[in-house]
Amino acid sequence: MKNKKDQTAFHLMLAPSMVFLIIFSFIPMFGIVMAFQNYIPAKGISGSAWVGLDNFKFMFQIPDSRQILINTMVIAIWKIIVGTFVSIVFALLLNEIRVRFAKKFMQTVVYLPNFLSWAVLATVVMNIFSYEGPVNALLGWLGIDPVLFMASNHWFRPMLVLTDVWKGFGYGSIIYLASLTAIDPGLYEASSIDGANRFKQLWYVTLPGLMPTILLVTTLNLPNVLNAGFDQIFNLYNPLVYATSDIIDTYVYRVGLVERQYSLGTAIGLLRSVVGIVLILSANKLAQKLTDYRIF
Amino acid sequence: MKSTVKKSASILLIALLSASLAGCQNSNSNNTTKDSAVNLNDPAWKKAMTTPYEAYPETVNYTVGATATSYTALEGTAYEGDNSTNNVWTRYFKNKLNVQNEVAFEANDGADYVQKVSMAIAGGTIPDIMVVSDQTTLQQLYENDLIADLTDAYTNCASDRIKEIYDSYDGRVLETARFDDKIMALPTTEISHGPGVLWLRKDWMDKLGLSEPKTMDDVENIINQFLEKDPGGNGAGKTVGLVVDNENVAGISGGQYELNNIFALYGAFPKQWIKDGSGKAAYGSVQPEMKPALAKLADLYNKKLIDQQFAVRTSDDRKALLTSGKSGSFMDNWWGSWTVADTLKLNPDAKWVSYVAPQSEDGSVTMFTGNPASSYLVVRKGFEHPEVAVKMASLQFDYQRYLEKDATVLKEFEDYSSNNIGGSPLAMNIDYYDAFYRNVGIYEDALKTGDSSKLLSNSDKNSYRSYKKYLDSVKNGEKPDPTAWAGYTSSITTANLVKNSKVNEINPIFFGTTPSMALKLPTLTKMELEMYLKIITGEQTPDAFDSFVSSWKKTGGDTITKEVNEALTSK
Repeated sequence: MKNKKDQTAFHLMLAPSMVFLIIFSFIPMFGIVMAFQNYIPAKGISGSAWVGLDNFKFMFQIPDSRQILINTMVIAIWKIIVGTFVSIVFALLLNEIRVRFAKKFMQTVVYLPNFLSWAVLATVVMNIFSYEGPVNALLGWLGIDPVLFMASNHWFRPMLVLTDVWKGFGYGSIIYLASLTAIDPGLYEASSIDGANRFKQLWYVTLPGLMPTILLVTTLNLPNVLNAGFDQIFNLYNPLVYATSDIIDTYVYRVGLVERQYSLGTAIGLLRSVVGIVLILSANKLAQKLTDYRIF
Repeated sequence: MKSTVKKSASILLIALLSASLAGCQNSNSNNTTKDSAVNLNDPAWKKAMTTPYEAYPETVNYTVGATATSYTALEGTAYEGDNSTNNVWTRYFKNKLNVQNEVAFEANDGADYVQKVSMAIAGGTIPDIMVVSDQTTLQQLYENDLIADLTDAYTNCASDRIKEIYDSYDGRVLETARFDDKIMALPTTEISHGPGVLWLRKDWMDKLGLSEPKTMDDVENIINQFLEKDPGGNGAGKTVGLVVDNENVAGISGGQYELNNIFALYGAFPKQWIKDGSGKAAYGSVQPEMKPALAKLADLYNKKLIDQQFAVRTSDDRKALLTSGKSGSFMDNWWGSWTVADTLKLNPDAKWVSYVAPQSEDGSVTMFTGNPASSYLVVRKGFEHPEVAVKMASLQFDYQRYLEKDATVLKEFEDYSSNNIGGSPLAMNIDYYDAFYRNVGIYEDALKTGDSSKLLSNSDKNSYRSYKKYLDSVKNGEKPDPTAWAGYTSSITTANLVKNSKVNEINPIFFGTTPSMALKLPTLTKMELEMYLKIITGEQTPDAFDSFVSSWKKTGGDTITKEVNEALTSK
């Protein structure tokens, strides 16, 4: 156990992030009142006229609200499901590689895209999936008509999920790799004495060993259901696929900043927060129930 | 175990880092200018503040929201190292008026710039001088009491010619900047730009033996042959059809890559407030004429005559398609040659030629006229010298154009314009309504006789020299300079073409904003854009137009229409 002096040091290290949190997460919360006003920048919050629930009424009247909420959830949930699955499978496969060098090399390679920003990756993705790109060249070679992936409401969501998973699964697998090392090697020895092959070991020893981590990570991901990835979508989408890709964040950006509808933007943003807090509370409950872990 | 020293050191480091980060954010906002207290009784100051061209006794600094200019073309010339605060324009303003700019923000023309402006407004820190892109923003700024009243500045510091230019629009321009009898901004004037112009690769047409297009069928045939016979040598199926803007398919007067001409063939005028049968204002995009036009476009797309990937293209992509020879057709304006001027660098044999097409059966073209006032130059309320903006406009759009006689100075401006580089902090234009056609005849005479004395303004004389250079290079079989080619092709060839065409003008009757527009129009516009894209790309049938119309009306369109009509009758 740490002594008291060490604890103070750790608390001090926490201080900058607390300050950051207060400045960028707590103070802006007061801006929520804009949603109940006809906010005018020059007059500020104190000077702008109160309009009650007008912005919310309009928000529920326009078809966009439902659409963006659905888009956000669908995209985010798919990202969580596919992302978790791929990360786990990758961690398991990597764990089976016995050559240390090959293992490290693989891990580094899949880890790389995580460090590139979507502003850069979007161009790469757009080029790969354009009409003249390699994917359509391959399809053409197989006798399939070219598909315009990035301008098709049918393909755009799967593209979002796949490219997001591709970017993040290396990073996501780290936590699983770490908890794999925590599994008692004695269990493997015992199972092999009992005659279990590699696959059976994976099924009866590794997976159950990973289960608590999987549950915990997935539960903690739940509040992210409203965080479908602004950077990615903003850099990849176009007006044709608004119907399937416009999420709360991109919509608030366009409405609030581009169209200067500050109050409406805030109202929609607030909708997101309300749903968000419900999700966080239920995730907490769920995590407590399943893994005996609670955030608060 | 780490030693305590090491641990403390790392904590200190983190603290320092975060402190320095916080520091960075602050340093930018302290740049606001401190103006010296001005003594209004000082005659030198008073004179400077009440006349167009008098210089200030001391340098007046102002911050400006600037459109970015690329100065790379000046590398290796005498102007190397010029930038947005030190270039031929800012030096001119400094010398003549003793004013110096500081850049508050800089962005590329178009959406990027608009975004920066709205960020500045949202943040409540607008620069001393900036151009805002539409009247809605101007109105918002006025209602929010963010901008200065320029009435006195206009009366005193706008030169006679500037006033004459605004008058050439019969008040249609300056009135849009007038609120409660106060002039709140200097509007950019949109000179009449004529109808949309179809630009085609003439060298490709010649290769295939195709003649000049007139009707829609001709246009289709030409583009189809471009695709099928691949005169550009792009490889089978690699040539792209008509290049179209994905965010503005139609409806902006003088817009680029827009299909206004095709809509007009069917009597449809998207996004315009036009008179309906009963004399009331109606929104063009929801009129029944739209449907056959959309069906036609869907058909064109299906036949691959429209760029199959237009929905995902950025403006850079569009330009690249044309300049790299991937596509040989686009609809633009008379100044479309500037869009494709780079083609000459990449492919010197390429020949872009403009046509007024597609025409209706009687050989005429219908166009809707644009809002004569487009963007607005505004001054921050509280800026000590609001008249600076008006003085600068007078200097740039009158004095420098018509009265400047200093050959060295003029040479510098000519060098800049021959490299197609701007540099002025005022990203706007103030010119006569008929500026586009005004001088074509004079130019042609001058080019024939070699006597340019009838050309009045310095920029006309510059242009004349550039056109002459272009004609000479053609005569001598030399490679023409892209800028000279673009200038000649737009202002002489295309201007002549448009001047001699049968053009029907439809005048939209409303350009302003109404109370509901602010909240509801963005949603409606988005709905409209999706409708165009989905119908054209075949994701929905043209019948989807009907359901668009009904939800447009329900979601606020009817309210807005009512308000527009009220606004018109109350005038």
